[in-house]
Amino acid sequence: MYSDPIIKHVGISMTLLLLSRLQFALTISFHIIFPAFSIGLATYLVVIEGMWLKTGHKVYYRTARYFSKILALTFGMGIISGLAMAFQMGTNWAGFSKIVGPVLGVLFTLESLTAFFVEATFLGFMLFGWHLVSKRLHFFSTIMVCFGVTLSAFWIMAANSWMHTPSGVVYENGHFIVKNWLLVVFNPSTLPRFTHMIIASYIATLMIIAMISAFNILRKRFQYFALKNLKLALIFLTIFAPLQIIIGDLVGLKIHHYQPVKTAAIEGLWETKNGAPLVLFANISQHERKNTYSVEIPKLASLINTHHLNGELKGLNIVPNSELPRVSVVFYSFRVMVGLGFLIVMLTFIGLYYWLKDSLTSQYWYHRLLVICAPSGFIALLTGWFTSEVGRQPWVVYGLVKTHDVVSQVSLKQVINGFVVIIITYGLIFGVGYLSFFFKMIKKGPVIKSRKLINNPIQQEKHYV
Amino acid sequence: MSSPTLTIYILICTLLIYLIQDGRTLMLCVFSAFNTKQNRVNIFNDILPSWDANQTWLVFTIAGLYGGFPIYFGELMTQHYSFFLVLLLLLILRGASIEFYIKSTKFKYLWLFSLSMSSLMILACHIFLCTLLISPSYFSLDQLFVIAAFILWFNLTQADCFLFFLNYYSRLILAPGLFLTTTILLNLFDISVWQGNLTSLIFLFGVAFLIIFLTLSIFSYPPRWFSKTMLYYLFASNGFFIIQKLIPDLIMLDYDGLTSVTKNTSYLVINTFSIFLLPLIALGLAKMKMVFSNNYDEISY
Repeated sequence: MYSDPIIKHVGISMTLLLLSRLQFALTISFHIIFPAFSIGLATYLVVIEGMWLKTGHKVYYRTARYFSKILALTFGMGIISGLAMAFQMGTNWAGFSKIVGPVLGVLFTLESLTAFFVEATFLGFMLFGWHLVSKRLHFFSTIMVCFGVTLSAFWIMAANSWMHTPSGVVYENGHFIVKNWLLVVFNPSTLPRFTHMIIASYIATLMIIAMISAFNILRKRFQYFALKNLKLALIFLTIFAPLQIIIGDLVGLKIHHYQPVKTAAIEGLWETKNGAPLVLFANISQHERKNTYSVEIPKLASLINTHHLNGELKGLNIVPNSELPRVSVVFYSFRVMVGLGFLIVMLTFIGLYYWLKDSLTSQYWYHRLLVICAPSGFIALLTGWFTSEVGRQPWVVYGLVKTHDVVSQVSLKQVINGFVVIIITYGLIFGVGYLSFFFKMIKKGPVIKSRKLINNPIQQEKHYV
Repeated sequence: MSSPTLTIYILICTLLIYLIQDGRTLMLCVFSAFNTKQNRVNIFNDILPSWDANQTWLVFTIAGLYGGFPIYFGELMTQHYSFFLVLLLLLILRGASIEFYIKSTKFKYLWLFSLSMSSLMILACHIFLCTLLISPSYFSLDQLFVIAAFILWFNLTQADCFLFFLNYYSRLILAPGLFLTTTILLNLFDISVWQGNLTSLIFLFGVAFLIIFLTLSIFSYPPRWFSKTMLYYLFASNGFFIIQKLIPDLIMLDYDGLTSVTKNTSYLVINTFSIFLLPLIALGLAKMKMVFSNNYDEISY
């Protein structure tokens, strides 16, 4: 049924492991979208509200009110989908809890204490306190929500990065004993991966903001509001999109240093080579341990991963079958992520070009393209996570604990039932439910009381400023 | 006090806060579908600002249990896989229902009904969860019934303190009912009420509050803050009895795994940190309640 060499090697219930992994992958893929969107929106709201306090322009107030509604929906979804993560650690990965609990449990507790309580408390002020608390207190609440969600991401990234580059611990008698908490939290990959994730969240959110603006411009309504937001999104994308390429390069260097097999899987490289070529496209045959077809650019993979033309890249053949990740998933996910990243950079500079030529509003083809490409940021974010997590396999804690050793020994029937129920619930609630309300909010647009104002940009400007 | 004991105290407190806060929210959500529009507005105005904060207590309890008692956490979750899956799905459904209820125009009543029903089922899950936590090694229907009676009485009284839907006579029946189930609950776990100075003092205060509450109920509606405080107090006093029962079970199960953790001073720092942080958060929540207490319009963001 399933010809994965890792599974064959292990000889345990392969379906149980596969289903548990798929279930976790599904739930976390749904979940990660909401916190990432919340991080981006909360940060955008801090900027917008700050501008409102400084200038007093109503357009910023309306923008803040509008996006805080979307944040409310997204944040709520993030909390309830996040509960699934906490439960699954025990139900499907009990072995993981037992072995890694003393390390990661403390980080998760810290996350709850320092981040969740702060954001949950101030979110009440932020969402419901527009006319009940002072402007400054409201702005402070927005800052605290932004701080809370970012800090929450930091703890999660610290925990996840520790699984990739474990440090500050000793592994004795099936348990991790922490020797240095600072090393656990600030392990070698925490800071670059955290920065990469935060910027990815910003970019994904900015693409959605750009899409909402483009949609309104295309429908010839709320033009003043839309153009203001589109310009802001373009300014931030000009900063963050190129910066993400630099941070991504830093992450790549760390991966090459600490997880050479993952680098080899990303590059689709089977033999160890100096001056390895960049494989643009290939047909990966894991069974034969080679690429049956490939398009390559000489020496570029070495240049990217080592910053030297003739730098050495380890090949996948240095490890046995049992220690290979699913190479094709890692290889293609990475290419989708990078491709979409460059697409976003391109869209940003096209927008900037038309803005400088003062013809941004009239480029309908560009706005249509923005609407079509709206999910590109989130798809890039997800494929980035696929690259990272599938690339770590078969290890759950890299080089120390294997995934098949920590799966819960529950009955297959229970896991299948759970998986089916989760697919249906997640599909209905987070897929159909969330998206329908999200699109409804986009369709409705920001509230303008006078109907005359909706389609009149000059009157809108007078009204807003 | 050793680090694991301290951690247990913190976790029990956070679980109690979750059960109290969310228990009240759950009961109000159950009644929301069968109430007047004005009452629904009042209910949602009251529960929405602290909705996320309530869920955070549960997340904290789970994370703390995961960090402090990983073996117990793993065992508990694996043994009751289906129960936790159902609880998870209900929590998701309830969270989604309230979000969609606010946003929806066409299917508002469908989401309201879904909110009400999922809340009712979560209430049942709370009962099962409490029974499970109090006696992890053995499970009996007697315990389940007593805990069910206690939790239902308690949450019903909490909801009544907000909605005032019961008349004097019903409230007169309700209060002794709560008292009776509490006493049975305590006796069931073989804990003498008069054993230990601190616990008996707490219990006596609880009884005194109850008598005053009953007396006041006969003449007039009691002020909200008073009735709420009394209820929290009564629940907390029971919590202390439950803690006494719970500690040995947890420590015995996890002691080997914990020795490595307890040696680590950082863990103690985290616990101390949490002790200082929790009152601050409580203050924040209290402030928020005060700010929003003057809002009588339908809440919206």
